[in-house]
Amino acid sequence: MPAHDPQMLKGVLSLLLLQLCATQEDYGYSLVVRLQQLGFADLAEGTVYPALSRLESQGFLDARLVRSASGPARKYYAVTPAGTAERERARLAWLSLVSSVSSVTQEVPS
Amino acid sequence: MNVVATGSAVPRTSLQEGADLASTLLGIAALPAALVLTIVVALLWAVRPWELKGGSWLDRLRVGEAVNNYDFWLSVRGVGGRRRRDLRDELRANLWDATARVGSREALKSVGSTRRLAFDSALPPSGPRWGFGLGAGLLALELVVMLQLFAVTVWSDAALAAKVTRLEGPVTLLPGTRATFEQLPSGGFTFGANLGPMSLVVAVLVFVLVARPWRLRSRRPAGAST
Repeated sequence: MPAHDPQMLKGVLSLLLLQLCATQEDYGYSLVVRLQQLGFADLAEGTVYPALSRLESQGFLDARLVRSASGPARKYYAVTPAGTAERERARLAWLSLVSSVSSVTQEVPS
Repeated sequence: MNVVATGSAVPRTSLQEGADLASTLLGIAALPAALVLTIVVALLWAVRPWELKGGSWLDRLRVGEAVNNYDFWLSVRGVGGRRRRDLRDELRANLWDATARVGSREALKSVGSTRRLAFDSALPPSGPRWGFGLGAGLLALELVVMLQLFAVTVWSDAALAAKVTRLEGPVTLLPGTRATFEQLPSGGFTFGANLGPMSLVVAVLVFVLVARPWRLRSRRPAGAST
């Protein structure tokens, strides 16, 4: 599988994170691992952590600290009602974009 | 601000000179040792390897050092207080989990530049930075006063070497700073200085430049700062 375009990935990262947090409350590194297992092997942690911070400060994610046996407490993120609405908006925008791009790329030249 | 000090130019006995030499040598040895000790303690305090459980000490130091760098860049970004502590603790927890899984080298490589991470994680605060301004102002005050005292000491040494009985005048390159020197009839000497308003002016200037109070006029609404 070819590597993902970093710019394109950045554009949909918020949607991916909102989707993952909606299915299961999770913390930064675990979200990175889940995304890597889902096919985003080239995803860097340095991209995910700032995105989580932004989503939290925008009110789309809520965070709580959970003690960890390895030492520092982990910050678990869950989607807020505003985050759920944003996820749906981003999902529809993504589907619309895919549809539009597909219609152009699949057009047979006359 | 006035400073007065006294000294002695009376001939000394060989016993006194021996004691002085021992004291000087002790001072010379103690200073680097204290400096090294201070640096080691400061580094350990900054890196805080004891907050991580399991893993090797090398991994702890690597992760701690990266988190410390991240903290520094957050402070440069103007992020302070609880927000900075939260971001720092979150990165430490994530890095430590990644270290347990792939090792500290790979974990740090995946995070990339801590400067970039800090700048991506938080927007600079839109309001004035009173705390930073105060810190910078106090530091500037201390440095300028130290410079003035050093210059006055050099000035007094020159007066002592010139064997003048009394001298009073300004200190070159330090506006408003005046020094006095006087030989005492007993053989000692005294010198003093009027440091003037220079140190306070510099401190206030640094405070204003760093705190940026003019940002009060163009402050973003609360909640949009990060």
